[in-house]
Amino acid sequence: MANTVLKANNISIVFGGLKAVDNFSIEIKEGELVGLIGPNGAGKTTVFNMLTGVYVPTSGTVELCGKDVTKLNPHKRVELGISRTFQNIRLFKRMSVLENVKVSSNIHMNYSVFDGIFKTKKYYEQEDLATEEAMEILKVLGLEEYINEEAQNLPYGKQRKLEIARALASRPAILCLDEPAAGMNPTETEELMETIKIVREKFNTAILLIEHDMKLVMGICEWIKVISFGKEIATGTPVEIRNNKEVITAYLGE
Amino acid sequence: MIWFKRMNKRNLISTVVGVLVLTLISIFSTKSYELPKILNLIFIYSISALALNIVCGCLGEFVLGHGGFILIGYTTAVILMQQISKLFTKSMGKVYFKEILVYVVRGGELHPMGYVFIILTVIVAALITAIIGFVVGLIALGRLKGDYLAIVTLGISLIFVNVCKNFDSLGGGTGISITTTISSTPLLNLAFLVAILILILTFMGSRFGRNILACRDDNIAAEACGVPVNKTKVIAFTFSSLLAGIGGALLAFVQPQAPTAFGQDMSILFLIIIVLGGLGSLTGSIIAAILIVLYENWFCVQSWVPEFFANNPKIIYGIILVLIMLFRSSGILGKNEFTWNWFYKLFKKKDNKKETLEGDK
Repeated sequence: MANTVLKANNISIVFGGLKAVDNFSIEIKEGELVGLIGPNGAGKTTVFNMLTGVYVPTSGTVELCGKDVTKLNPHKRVELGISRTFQNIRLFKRMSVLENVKVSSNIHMNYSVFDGIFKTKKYYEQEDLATEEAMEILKVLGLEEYINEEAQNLPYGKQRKLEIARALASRPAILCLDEPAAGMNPTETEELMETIKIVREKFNTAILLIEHDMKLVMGICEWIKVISFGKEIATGTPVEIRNNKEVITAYLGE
Repeated sequence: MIWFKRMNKRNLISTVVGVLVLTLISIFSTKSYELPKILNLIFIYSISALALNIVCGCLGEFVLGHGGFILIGYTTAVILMQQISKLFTKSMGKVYFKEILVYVVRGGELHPMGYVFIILTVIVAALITAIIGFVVGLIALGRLKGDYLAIVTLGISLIFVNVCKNFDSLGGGTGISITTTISSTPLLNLAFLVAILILILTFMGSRFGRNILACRDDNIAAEACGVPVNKTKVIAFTFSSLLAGIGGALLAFVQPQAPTAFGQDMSILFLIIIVLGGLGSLTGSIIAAILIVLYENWFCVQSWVPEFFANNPKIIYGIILVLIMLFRSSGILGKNEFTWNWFYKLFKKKDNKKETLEGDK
């Protein structure tokens, strides 16, 4: 029986008078690959923001690896094992690719300002370890030839991959991908599917995926949750979802 | 000693040679009258510009109150020096103390005890400034960003300036002045600059520096990568005010009478320097500081310079700013650092030319 990594119990959030997400629950176990889909404006990214700590839910709780994290800051949650990518790429544009990935290693380092300034043995041990790890991740994602390039100079598809690499460097138990295929052409999407599969095997992490590209979601997800207007309307395997009447109505209208 | 193994030897040697040359210049500059003053100002302005560059260039937050922190360092150093001199005059007798602290500008040397006094005073003043900077950062940085933070820092520095102006013990309207005749030497200021440059380079190379740069590029992404954004900002701001305190305290031993320009004019001057040098470029700040000091203290006092310029040296700054923004918005060095490579390339090119010329023959 695999352990639960991420659990949301009836989370809701209200913006002004608008209930953006209403009683959303989800439970993700170790190593699962889960899809979260829904029409535009359904509240998918809002759910993400509550899970990763950008918003505090109005009601309900979020648990991460058995700990209640409902009120924790995003950076504290990263330490507990969740990491994410963004819908519109948010890289550290003027830093090198390697440095981008190493930023995420910060949570695994504990050398002090003193160690940093006087470059003690501890500094080199931890920095070298971080570099090694970063290189390994970049190699898996096929970015090792770009390590000294500035992030903003990478082509679009590589920037997406770099975001995933950066998210992986914090050694997450669950990785949240917010529309990783947005703006990609079919070939790039295909490549991304492969990448996600490899990442899951190599780094042993659960993955929660928001996506519009049905081919991608149906192709790789183990099970899928569908939300519409902030409410959950269906949960099931790709085949079940494809034949669910409510889902079809939500996407295509009556 | 791992750092030594990993350094580019050529650059290291070039830098050491450069510093040695500067040291020699600093030692022998005391023979002339004008040179020590210019060197002192260059080194101190560089330190203060570097301090501002950490927050504005590396952290990417706009700060308008840098002069206020320099003023705190300056005032603290002066008050400390006054107290020390009172204490020593009482216990040792006036004559001996003067002997220790007297610094004859022409060909004179500072008594070794004078160095100790200055260094201790500077360290204490810097620590006090850092504590004030830490408190200000804690209050302002956590909740504000962008324009709002700039306005808060402007307000805080106005408070400092006006408090100093209105309390006679802190200088009053004319500014505080050191009653003892102690002055520092270019050598001491150079030592501080080199030490601070090394400090900043190693700091920015550590995880704290990386976090600061990450916050500059994207706050939200940094937070999502596990970087404690608020803490990082406070660390950067405290570090910056520590260095500003050092700059201000050193200035106290060079410029015994606080100029009325202290405060807002200083804040603007250092903003101009770091924009001119390139935001985020450490060596750029130093180059720009050199240019500005040379312009104010050497160019403007030349006899052939039109009187209009000599009387209003600051009039050109506005023009400089507009021109930089229009034609090279990233500053002299942009985000790059000064390296010795161009220096070696210069020779290489010459060699290549020689070879081609010989080939032609």
